[in-house]
Amino acid sequence: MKQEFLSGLLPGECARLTTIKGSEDLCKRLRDLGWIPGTSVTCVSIAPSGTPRAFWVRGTVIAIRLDACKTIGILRKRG
Amino acid sequence: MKCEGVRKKEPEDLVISLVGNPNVGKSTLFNALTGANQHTGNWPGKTVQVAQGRYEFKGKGYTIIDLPGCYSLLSRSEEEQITVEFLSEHCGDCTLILADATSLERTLNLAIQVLQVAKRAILCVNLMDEAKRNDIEIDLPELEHQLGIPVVGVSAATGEGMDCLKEKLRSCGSGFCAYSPLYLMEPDVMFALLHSPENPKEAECFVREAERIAGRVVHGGMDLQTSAIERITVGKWTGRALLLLALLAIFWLTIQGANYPSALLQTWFTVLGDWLEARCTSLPWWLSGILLDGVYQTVTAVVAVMLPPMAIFFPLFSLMEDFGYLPRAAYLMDHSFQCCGTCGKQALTMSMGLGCNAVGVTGCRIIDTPRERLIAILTNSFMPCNGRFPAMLTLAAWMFGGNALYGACLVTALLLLSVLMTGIVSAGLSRTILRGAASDFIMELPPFRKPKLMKVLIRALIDRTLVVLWRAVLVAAPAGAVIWCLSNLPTEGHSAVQWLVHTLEPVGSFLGMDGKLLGAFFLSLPANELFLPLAEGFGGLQSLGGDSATILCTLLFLLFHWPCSTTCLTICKETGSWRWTLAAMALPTAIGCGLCILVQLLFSS
Repeated sequence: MKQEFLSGLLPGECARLTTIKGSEDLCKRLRDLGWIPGTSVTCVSIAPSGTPRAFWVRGTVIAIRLDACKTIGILRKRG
Repeated sequence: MKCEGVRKKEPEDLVISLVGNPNVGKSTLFNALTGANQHTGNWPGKTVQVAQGRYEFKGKGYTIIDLPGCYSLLSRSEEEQITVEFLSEHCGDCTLILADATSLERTLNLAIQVLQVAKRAILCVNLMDEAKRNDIEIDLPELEHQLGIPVVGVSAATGEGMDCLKEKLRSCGSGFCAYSPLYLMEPDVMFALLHSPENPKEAECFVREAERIAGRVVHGGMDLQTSAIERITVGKWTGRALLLLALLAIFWLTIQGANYPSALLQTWFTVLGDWLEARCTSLPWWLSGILLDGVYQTVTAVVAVMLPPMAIFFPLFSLMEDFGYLPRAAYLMDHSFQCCGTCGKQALTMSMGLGCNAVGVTGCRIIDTPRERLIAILTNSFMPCNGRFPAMLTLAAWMFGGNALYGACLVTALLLLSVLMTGIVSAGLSRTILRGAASDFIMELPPFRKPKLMKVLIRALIDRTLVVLWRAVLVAAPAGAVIWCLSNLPTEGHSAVQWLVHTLEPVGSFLGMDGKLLGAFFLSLPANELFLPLAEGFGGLQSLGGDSATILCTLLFLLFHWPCSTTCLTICKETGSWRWTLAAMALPTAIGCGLCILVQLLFSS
């Protein structure tokens, strides 16, 4: 199956995180917010210019940039 | 941070350190515990401010150390380092961990990490009332059982549960409580994790443990609700339109609302001044000159010009802040900032700069990378602070013969110009001397909260309006006296001010103004609030007349010139360098001169 990334998630869609690559600093700071493989994420909104994008994770809305989204692998939930 | 930073009032005081994520109500809890007894101080060698406060409960004193807010102990940012050092050296008798009931899972991550290093700890779950409103139930006894430490639920904003918290702090701080905290790893493993390049697997175990515990104690839960208001504020077209409209509305309300009270205050002050003058005829001419024409005139001018717009602008701005709109503005603006090589958080420091540039410069600490922080500091004074703002509003209204709507449009346009300049200069800096790619941008968008109207209004009036006004008066009074002396006590036939105005005349007229206006700019270095009264005192305003080119040049130079002395000192402190401070003064001045010359060329052709 083709690897999907967080950048492909549209508002309202949800998925599970599989891999978080990106810079070391980015991974660390996302992990502090509870973003680890297996965490469920829902896309909340996409800013007018396509970046940044807001995601609902563990009861909080976190905004990250498009280029960061492209380094985060996801697996869509069925149904 | 070393323990000697702790200042106890009484030697037997218990020391409680307060740890928690940003934006979970740490300051609210701190203030609820300590009342007004807080004081902020710099810690040795660090610029990050750590507040200390004290309260008494049942005959015992408690010193509270408000450690910087952080999400984790493992990321080694400056804030986290301070917290880690403080906790692992056991400087406090007890650590108070603050968690957020509406997102317990995320905040437990930090709590579990703290348990590994702290001597003794209590978990305080804040925002219980808000959680209840969202149908979240938290099983506090089970949480206590899982973590093995005392747990208290409070609502710091309403004061609910505070007595219970103080009781627990009393018993636990003295060592009389059941305490068997959850240990996930041996102390040496944890030490290695805190001080060396990390192992992601071990760091993840805190998150998984938090997830497991939250799964057992949190019942019901907030589902993601994208309300209409959320969709509109960040919508594709509506978001930007709303941002622009909100700014326009705030300025229009401020100009329109401030006109009448300003004029009224001016009339009252004139009447009072005449009455005082009649009483002071027996004083020698120089004393009554210093007191009435110097101090009284300057102070009343500052108050009459500044008080009404500030009393309208600050409460409105605080309402937006409390509502949670500012992070959305940063979210909308981020892409533009990214193109300039900086991040959307700069939008927040710029809004703080609207209040006061010194505050904005200090606020740049929220920006994570030094390069972007420096850019934000250097460009912060492009935003008109409230010392310049009333003068801008007044001048803009004159330009259109007092028409508030046109005035508001002009001010909004000027503000957009300063935002544009910030962007251009930031982009220029990040492509030349401060080269580097835009860093990762991670920002939390807090839920919209209904602002507590009365509380916000009172806080905005007292904490911001009156404090800023008082500071302005403190500067204006001596400055008024000195300037009166300079302009009235002759030395070799000319007064010092006449000499200054005369010397500056060619430069002033080159910039589309005159020597009097430029002289007022120079002498308002202590505080920008002084510009209008000074210009009036020199007769510079009369020369403005109805000449829109001169008014426009003055407005532009008001927007872009050297920052006030307080801001310069703050920049020097924050950057630790005189060179960057000079750059921060030279940059806006150069831009201001350039724009004024441009306007000259346009109007003369």
